[in-house]
Amino acid sequence: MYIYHCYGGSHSSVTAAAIHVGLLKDEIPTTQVLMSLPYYDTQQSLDHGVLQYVGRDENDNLVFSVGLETVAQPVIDAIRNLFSIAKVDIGHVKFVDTLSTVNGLMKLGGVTSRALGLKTLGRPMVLRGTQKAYKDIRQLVMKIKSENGDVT
Amino acid sequence: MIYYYHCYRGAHLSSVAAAIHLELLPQDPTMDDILNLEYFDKLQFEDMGTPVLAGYDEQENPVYFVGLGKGTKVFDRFADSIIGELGLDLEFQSIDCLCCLDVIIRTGGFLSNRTGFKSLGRRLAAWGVRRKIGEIRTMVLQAKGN
Repeated sequence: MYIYHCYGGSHSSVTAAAIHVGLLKDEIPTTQVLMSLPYYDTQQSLDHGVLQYVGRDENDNLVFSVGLETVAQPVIDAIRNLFSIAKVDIGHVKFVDTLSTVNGLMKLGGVTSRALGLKTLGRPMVLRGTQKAYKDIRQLVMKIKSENGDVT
Repeated sequence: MIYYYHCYRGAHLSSVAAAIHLELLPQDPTMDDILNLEYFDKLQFEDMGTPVLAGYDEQENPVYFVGLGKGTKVFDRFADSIIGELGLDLEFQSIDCLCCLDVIIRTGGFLSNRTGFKSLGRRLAAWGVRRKIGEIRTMVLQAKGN
């Protein structure tokens, strides 16, 4: 299982998960393609923390995106510790933080569209930002997929 | 059943809630009762995400407290979600203690982490917790299903 996470689970993590399962290829996607992705620019603050199923990869691994705001580390640590305490074997779960790929345009557009609810203003910005960050996001996903066996 | 009491730093509200769960505090505790709790005002920011076992209750359920920073609400949704997606049969209850937070506990917590104000902050947090003890006890009783 792969879980891509960012602040709101709306843009970078959704794009990364879509690349992982093969919904997006090498070329930079058009705005129409980005908007057609499951959960792209749709999440509200009440959705933060809820796993969003994006698909399965070629090895049948489940791939999710999720918004963990700025608290990914304590939340993931607390979950890992819980499973360890409960002696539950959850198999291979890889958490991937996509925040490092987020640029200023994505932040500004994301806040405008999601937090302020000004879609008309924020959406074009975040779409353009995602296109600009696309190579970085794709590179991150390819790196993660190439790290066979590096699952935690 | 695994009980996870959580708050911002795991230093005050959640550690006291765990103590009430384990019946380590009298019905009407004094400030000293609270200040003398083993884990009161102990956890720090770097401990966030690491649960501390406070003990086992009368039904041998493990009772933990943990600091989650600003992630208490996100954690509850994430825990439900991942347990559901993985199809785990896990008896687990997560209790967000921030519902009992007020400005006195918040200020005490802030000061107890600042050099020179530690003692004042501890006492202020203990005073705030004592004022809220009824609410905390109700929350714990609800969690235990009593």
